Amino acid sequence: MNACVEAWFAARGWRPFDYQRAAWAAWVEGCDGLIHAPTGTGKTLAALLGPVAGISEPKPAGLRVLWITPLRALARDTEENIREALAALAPGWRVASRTGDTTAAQRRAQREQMPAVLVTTPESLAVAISFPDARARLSSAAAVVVDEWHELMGSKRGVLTELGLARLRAWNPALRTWGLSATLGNLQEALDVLAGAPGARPRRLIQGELPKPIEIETVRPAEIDRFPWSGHMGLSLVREVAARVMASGTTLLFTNTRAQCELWHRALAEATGWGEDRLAIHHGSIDRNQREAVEERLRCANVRCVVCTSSLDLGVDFSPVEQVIQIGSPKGVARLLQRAGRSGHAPGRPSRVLCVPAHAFELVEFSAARAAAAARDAEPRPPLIKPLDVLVQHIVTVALGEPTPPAALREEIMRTHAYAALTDDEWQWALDFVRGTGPVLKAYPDYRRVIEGPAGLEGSTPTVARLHRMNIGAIPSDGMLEVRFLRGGRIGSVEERFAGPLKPGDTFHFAGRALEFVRVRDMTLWVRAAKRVAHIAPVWMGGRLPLSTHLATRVRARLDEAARGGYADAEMQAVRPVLEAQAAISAIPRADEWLIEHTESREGHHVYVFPFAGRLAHEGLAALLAMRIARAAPSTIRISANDYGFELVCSAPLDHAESAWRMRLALEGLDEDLAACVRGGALERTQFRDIARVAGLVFSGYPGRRKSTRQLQASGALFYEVFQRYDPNNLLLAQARREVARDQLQADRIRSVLREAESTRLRVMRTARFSPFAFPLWAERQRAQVSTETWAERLRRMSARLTSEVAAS
Amino acid sequence: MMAIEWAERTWSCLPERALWWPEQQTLICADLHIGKDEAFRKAGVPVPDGALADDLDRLSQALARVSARRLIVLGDFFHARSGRGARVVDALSAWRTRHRALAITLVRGNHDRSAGEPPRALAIDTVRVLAIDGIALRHDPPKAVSGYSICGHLHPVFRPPLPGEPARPCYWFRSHLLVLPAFSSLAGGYRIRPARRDRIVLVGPDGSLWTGGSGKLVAPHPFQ
Repeated sequence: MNACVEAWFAARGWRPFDYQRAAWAAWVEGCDGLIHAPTGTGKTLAALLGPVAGISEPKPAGLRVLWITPLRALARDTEENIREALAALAPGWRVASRTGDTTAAQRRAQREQMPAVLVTTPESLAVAISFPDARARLSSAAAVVVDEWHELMGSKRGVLTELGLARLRAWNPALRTWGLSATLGNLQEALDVLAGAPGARPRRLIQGELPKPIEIETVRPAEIDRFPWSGHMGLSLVREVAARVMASGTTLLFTNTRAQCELWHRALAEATGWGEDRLAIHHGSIDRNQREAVEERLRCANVRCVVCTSSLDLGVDFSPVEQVIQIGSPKGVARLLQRAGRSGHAPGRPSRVLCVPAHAFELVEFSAARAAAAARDAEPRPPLIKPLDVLVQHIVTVALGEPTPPAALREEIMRTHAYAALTDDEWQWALDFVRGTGPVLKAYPDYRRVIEGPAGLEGSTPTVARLHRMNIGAIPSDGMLEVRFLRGGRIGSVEERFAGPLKPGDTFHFAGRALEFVRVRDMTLWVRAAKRVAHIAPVWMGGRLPLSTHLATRVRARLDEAARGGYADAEMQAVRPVLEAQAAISAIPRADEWLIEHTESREGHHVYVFPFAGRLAHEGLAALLAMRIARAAPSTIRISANDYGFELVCSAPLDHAESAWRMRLALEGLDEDLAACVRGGALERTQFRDIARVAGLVFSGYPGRRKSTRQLQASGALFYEVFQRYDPNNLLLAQARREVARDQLQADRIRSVLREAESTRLRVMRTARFSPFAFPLWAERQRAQVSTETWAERLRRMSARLTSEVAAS
Repeated sequence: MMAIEWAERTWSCLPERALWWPEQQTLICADLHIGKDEAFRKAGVPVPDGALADDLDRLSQALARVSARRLIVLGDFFHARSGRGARVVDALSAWRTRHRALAITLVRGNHDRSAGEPPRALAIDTVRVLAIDGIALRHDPPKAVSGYSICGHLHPVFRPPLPGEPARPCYWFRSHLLVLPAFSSLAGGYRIRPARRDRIVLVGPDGSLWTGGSGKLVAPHPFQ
């Protein structure tokens, strides 16, 4: 094979990388594999050319390579890349893509003649499996390649992919699985999850070219606030950032949330005076056509700066990008590496990233991230285990495709990593749940999605089949409203809760435009262009990422150095006044101790605890402690949390003895106490909405198809109420509780944090006023209580008072 | 029960999500959507059974609370044709037998057109529109204001301004329009935005009633 491939490379003046040769050799040896390589280093060819050359058919009569990509937007690009390579190397091979965007005519053409290479998404693969001709069309594939596997693994879409692969392998045991992944802390595990239960085939982890060294530079404010609060500092650095943007070639400016993205886009437009021709915006809620237009401009260097979110973390190679700017802490090492890797494609040049802190402590995080990046110490991404909603969906998908004996299906499903430990009870429940059988389903007369025919499980009715296919997938998309101009034109989508308080005439910024709200109708938020200056930015859920354990450990190490008087780099020097104020009022926590501060105020008795376990785990810990404290002695407790610690404000005084804290932080009874925090609460209800959609209870349907399913429209919240009342033991409710414990409360992380606390020194301080560590927590809680103006006002006042007190002391 | 002045008359909002009109000795409710769960199950969506029995019990309880002699349903009696199976009709017949003396009138709604009218054996009068004492009783809100109207159709809900609280069904009193909460416990909700002079009566999860205007905290009125 190699002669032809080498010649093709030579004709372009290229030479294959060693890792590409290693991947091709591994294909010849008959391996499954995972290729770990940064974007823009030819990993598509590394995975593709092995099978293409190995199969060496001039004109395949069916599918040979199935290519799974996480984003529809990437499918088109990947298809082009593959087509270009195939045109020279295997001109008889056709490539096509099939996603939610594929037109009916293209689908018909594919039905008549399958391409040799098909690019698709996990959802489109599941839809394909649900048709009776799936086996005939898909089982001829010799290889399946999963692109950006790191992005899918760890999510329900990853599990959907695992199940789809298991089906393909059941049809064709010789099928080989390859994956492509960016930097991850658990690459070997990623390979094992992808390839499923171990078989006879060897597995090979192919390490790509080592990514280039990364230089991390920070913008440091001239004067630093000793009482920093989140988001306050960022925009004050906009002039500096604008100067860097104007002095460089194409810039990618990453923000962590869509709201921050809108804010920075507007601020930069003002500071640079640039219009749409030079400054663009890109995030997941902006209409797809507009996003694609921005991506195209990036590719041909027809834009100077794109303000974006993680929406541009993935895939597509934007070679013209010269500079990457990160606004706020990246919160994880892997993310920073990925984003930095977007720049500096010229050979031999390092990747550079300019970091802009949103508050003073983020300087510590940048300093810590630099140390971690130098050590290439990226976070692992744990795979998901046994989500029953995805299982239920898959059983129906398979049954619609072809009659399948339950025992064989169970065996096939248990060969995935996700369901390797599926119990008899869980399997039986899932089967009963789709067949409407068994004692549990007595409460469901006339219901069945799947029946058991002579040859196995089959779909029950054409209506069920149609609804199921419309609903396949595992991406929660509950409650989004489309944003459209009255005179026509889609702009994007916002969460329903953003629209709630809007009144006609209200103005807001979205997709970089000033818009005026007109009305909500037909799941659409109608707007017109606004003349007045807008004052609200839309709020989206789930934008705030918690600090990773990896980065947190390194942050604690930096603080430990500071506690001993060591300020290693410019960032630590810059934040020194803040840390010295912390030491004067309270203490800087050492790496082997927890800092706990008790303070009194007119509001009540405040406690601040700093485990450095990330915001989500702190929210869970705070809820847990609040419950334990209130159970011991009646008290009203308010809580707030950030990445470093959490605050409890109690109406009754709190015992500050270490022994009392040991009791509150005890591991014993953790599971029951966490379950009590979750049961029946708002968290559980919200989580259930997503599960209801995946399990096929709620129909999101397609736009334009709304009418045909209107009588089956119901919200997840309604199902939650109905299940609570009439089938409280339903396992989907139990799953919602588990997912809340795992994802929202981070039960595992709380457990390990409390275990760590058992052997950790507790440094309990009584402080006369809020310390710099405590202040952001106090501020965060104020934000939840009062309106924006008064909040900012009160904050400024409080910050000024504290600063003058420190100066006086 | 909460008494409210509206349209120069006194009305009572019942915690069962039905309106009592004392002058007319008439109970009014809207949007029963009977058989909705059954329609879902037949389409392969696993909704547990039980809501119909509870809803009929609640209707009986409301009727008993005020000793009503007449019931007016403002539309959407059945949810869908596929949801009016034998089990549903049997349950309805048994319920009707317990309320033999009650006069029932249904004002047709959009669902009634496709789902079909109640079986004749239930002895329910069906009309297109109804006006009593100058007040129009209809399924959906009128396009233009002309006198006072009471309607359903919207399934109004309101979220109390407390963190984590979900939206709850409510009565929505506007200057010339009164929108009733959906009676069905399986009806979804339409999040209303009360205007400045509107009043609402919110039905809590425990059957308690709360009232207030827009923007203000909803003050508790313990259920009597």
